[in-house]
Amino acid sequence: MSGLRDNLEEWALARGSEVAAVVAEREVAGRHAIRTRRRRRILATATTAIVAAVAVVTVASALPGVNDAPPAKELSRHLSELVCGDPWLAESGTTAYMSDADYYFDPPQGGWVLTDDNGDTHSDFTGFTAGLGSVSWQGEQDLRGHTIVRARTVAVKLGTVVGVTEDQYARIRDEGGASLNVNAPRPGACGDTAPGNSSGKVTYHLVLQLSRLGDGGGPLATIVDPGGPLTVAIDGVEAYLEEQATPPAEPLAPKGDTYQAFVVQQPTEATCEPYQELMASGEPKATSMTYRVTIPGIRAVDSGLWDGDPVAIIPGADVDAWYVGLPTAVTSERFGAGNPLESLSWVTGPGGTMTIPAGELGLIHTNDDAPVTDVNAGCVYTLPGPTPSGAVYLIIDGVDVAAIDAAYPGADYTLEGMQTWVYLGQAS
Amino acid sequence: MAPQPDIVAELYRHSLPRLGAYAYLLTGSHADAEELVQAAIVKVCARPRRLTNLPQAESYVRAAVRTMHIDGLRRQSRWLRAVPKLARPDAVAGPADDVTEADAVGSAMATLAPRVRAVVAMYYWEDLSVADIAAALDLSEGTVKGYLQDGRRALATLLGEDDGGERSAVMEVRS
Repeated sequence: MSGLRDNLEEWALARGSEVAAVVAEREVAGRHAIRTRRRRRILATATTAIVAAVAVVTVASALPGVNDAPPAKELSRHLSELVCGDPWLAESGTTAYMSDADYYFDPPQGGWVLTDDNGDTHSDFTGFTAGLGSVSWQGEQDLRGHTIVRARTVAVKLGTVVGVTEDQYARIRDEGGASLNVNAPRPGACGDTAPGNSSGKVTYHLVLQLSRLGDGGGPLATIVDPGGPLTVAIDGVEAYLEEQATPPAEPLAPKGDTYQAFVVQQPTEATCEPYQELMASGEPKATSMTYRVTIPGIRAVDSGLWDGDPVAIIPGADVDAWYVGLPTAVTSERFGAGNPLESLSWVTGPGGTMTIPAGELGLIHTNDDAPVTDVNAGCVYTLPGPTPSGAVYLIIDGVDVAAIDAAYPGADYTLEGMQTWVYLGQAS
Repeated sequence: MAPQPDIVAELYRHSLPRLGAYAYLLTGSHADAEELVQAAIVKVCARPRRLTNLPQAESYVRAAVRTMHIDGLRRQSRWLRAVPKLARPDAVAGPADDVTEADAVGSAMATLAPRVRAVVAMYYWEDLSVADIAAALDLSEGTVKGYLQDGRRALATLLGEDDGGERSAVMEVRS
């Protein structure tokens, strides 16, 4: 593997030199930030009362819309260090720090957008339920010169910052439009601290800071709330956090032809590894609805499941089984290469294939590239593959309603948009 | 105790290519790597510790790059990735990103999931043990070995390391 290590090092160093060239331009800004933080630490050893007062003063003087506009570097420093618990004292508007700043950018165009749990977007809304929607600021800005836009959203409750996002960047080398899609934080998204992680009204602010490479990191301008802030009511935050804290399920090993299955919400987010990302986030959870599924004739769980031969040959061809005909795929927790979602099709033999005996039902690989949930269209996968490992699931785009009713008698639930994850075992 | 000012200067003069390489291995993005390195330098140098020489300072910054990236992954998974219905941040790649992904290593690295990529970077660049990586990522050693195996397979196959040949990357496009 020394060749692999050498290849990686050589490649990474080439990329590192490009990164270094940009970071070196920001040495002045970095030194300024270091000095500021040291001062803050020294002050922190005095009294908390003094610290509180200093925080109010520095943020007030650092943000635009305040009469005594500080030097550009001061503003840059404080904006990037804005944390939960700080007061929000900025006013909407643009503050330019160089006489020719407006040459380099036009006002941003865009607005706040709510993406609901169906993936639909709305521009006119007053609230949403945590976990069933999210807010982002979407727009674009025309830039000239080698200009960088840093975007950040801030959640404010009762005048206090209760959530901040990581900075997002767009960069233009010559001239053009920069796309901006900045997610808003949930209340309490504060890193190590978590004040304000509760339901209620939140006001979202967008802050854009423009700078030009070659200016030592000093900003050209700061734009606060282009188009105005957004005040929105968020409910269900507590339930959302509780759900997120739920540990993942520990699937039971199959017993013969009977498997543990989980009822999981279909992914709707466009991504090339939707199921791997769901598993990484803890799906299926310990609280997920679960029931037993019996499917005879499924092959042993190993990489052979992906080799093109039928995944299952079911004697007796029970074509009335609930799963027959539903979109189906096999996937595993991790994939080193290849398409992580292998589409399958239910056929009766011999049909169009010679591998399924006459009168028997088979689950075969299909080349029609129709995944169980079409959220990964257009993705590029590297061959050869696959190299699966971890938990292996048969994903069936539907549920056995009768079995669930039997397992959860009298329960109030909806199965719309839900699918079944059949746990087949661990891939080695 | 504040670090000597010349240490900060030395970091910017001499360590940036190595730190930038590590940050790029972890993030796969020029913009993210730039921000990560800058933030790590500020974080380390603002701390009340004595930095007496460049290798020591660089090792602190390298560790900060790693921990800050891991923190970022965790925050992402908590709010943005945990619920599939939420929109994800549309990270805007710099123009250089398009170019660099055209090479074999870049293409291979781009196929790795974020956690697999982090494990590969920590193992091959920082020479951390499986146990250390597991502790840093709050994962079991078995999981880290699995990620490492995934990464090795993907990279070694694409780079022809398994048979020493000059196998070129083949791409499959889902329509």
